[in-house]
Amino acid sequence: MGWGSTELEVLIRPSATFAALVKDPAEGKRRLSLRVGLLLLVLGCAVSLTTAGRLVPAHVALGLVAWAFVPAIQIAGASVAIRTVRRDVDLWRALSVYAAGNGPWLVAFTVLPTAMLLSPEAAGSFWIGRGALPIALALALLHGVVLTFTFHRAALGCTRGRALAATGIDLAAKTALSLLWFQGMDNLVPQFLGALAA
Amino acid sequence: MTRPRPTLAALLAGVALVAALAIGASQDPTHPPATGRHAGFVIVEADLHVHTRFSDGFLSPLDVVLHAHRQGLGAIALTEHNVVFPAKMARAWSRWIGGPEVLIGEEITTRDYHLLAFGIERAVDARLPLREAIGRVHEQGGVVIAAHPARRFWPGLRPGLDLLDGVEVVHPAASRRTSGSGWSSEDFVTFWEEVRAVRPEATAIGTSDYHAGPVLGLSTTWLFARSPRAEDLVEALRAGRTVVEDPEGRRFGHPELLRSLEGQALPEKPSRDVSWKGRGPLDRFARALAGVALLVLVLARRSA
Repeated sequence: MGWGSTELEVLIRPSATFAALVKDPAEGKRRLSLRVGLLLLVLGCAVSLTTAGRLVPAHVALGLVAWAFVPAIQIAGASVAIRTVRRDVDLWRALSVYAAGNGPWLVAFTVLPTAMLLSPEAAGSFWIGRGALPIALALALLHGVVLTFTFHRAALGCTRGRALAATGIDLAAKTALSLLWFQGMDNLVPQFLGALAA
Repeated sequence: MTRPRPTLAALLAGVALVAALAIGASQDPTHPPATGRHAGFVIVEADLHVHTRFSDGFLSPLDVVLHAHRQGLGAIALTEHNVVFPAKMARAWSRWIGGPEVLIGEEITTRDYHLLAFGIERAVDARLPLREAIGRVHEQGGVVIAAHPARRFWPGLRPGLDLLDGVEVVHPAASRRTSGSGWSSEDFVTFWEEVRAVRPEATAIGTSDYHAGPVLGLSTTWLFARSPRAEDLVEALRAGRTVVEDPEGRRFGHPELLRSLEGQALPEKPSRDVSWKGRGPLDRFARALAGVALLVLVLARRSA
């Protein structure tokens, strides 16, 4: 596809695109930084659009910093999974290719805020009240999982079983890191286990 | 190695994004806070239940302060689940940029009860039994309010009825207009009456329980304080000098204040945008431009 971004190509032809990317010598730290930068820019814009209803430089910049933990957790989780199934690959190159699979999140955080803003009367009922927003985010999550599996199959050459295991490890590591974060904020144990006995 | 050149689509998207940022900055309003005087007190409008990215909110503490400034709130209390440092970050930032007064707060969050604590400097451990948790807040000179007292929290809250300083009576998730949470404003009022039976001058507050979106300041509390400074706002909360109005126009709060305000309007709130209405065609154009520019950046080839 001549006009589409790598992320779009991954969305349309995931196996072929991952397989082609892994052979591209330009994949590495620089491309990984650009892809992480794009994700952060989209997150910062989503923060601004959903808060102020417009792009405001301060919200974009602060949102970008506040949500930097998302790619950090993503890279950490992916690193654990990649290293578990393939010790012989260049990690930075593999991570760079992996980050090309961010399409579902990039599209979700671009389309959802804009659609919500352009249908303000529906903001409270359709998007939030009737669950369109959580459903859309759940679909992005599911699509992301499928792409993670495809990445391990097509880019790292894993068997179906190993790719499935890697996807599970990837998800488990990211979930564990997220839970650690919330437990670090003391947000989990008291809510689920309740107060200590008097 | 030659450096990749950006494509025309990427360049145009970049220019459009910069234009959307410039228009957005020019259209972004800042309302002066609503204020007034009554019975020798200054009236301050506050949103006293606000979350950030450090628990289940969407914004950083710094963004929350900017948004509160935009919404024309006189004060906010950052009440993160079980931590206070985000509130301290917000206070420092707000002082620096000349934003609204920030009260240090915590939502002491357990399975059995949620309490809002104001005027504290150290986090109170949410593993403590209710009476002990309330005691820890009072030891710091703080104020304790029962947060969104839905029916399921009543058994957890009742053992501390005599120690509670007040109740979050008005909450968007319980109001009839936005109900869907299973919480009922009548339950909140019933619990408020239960606390008042023990403590007639208990404090009533209304909040937006803000987590994300434009809705900061959707429902608020009027504080009748000696000055708009944080310590005097906490003193007003402690003394119960508050008035809140629910979406149906019912008022709750200090009995004497309610009597003296009978037939009188409270200060007019700024016309804050809580449903993304925007400010007109230019604002809506900038939103659409931002969305399209981002979409092009994400989906179109970026380097030649």
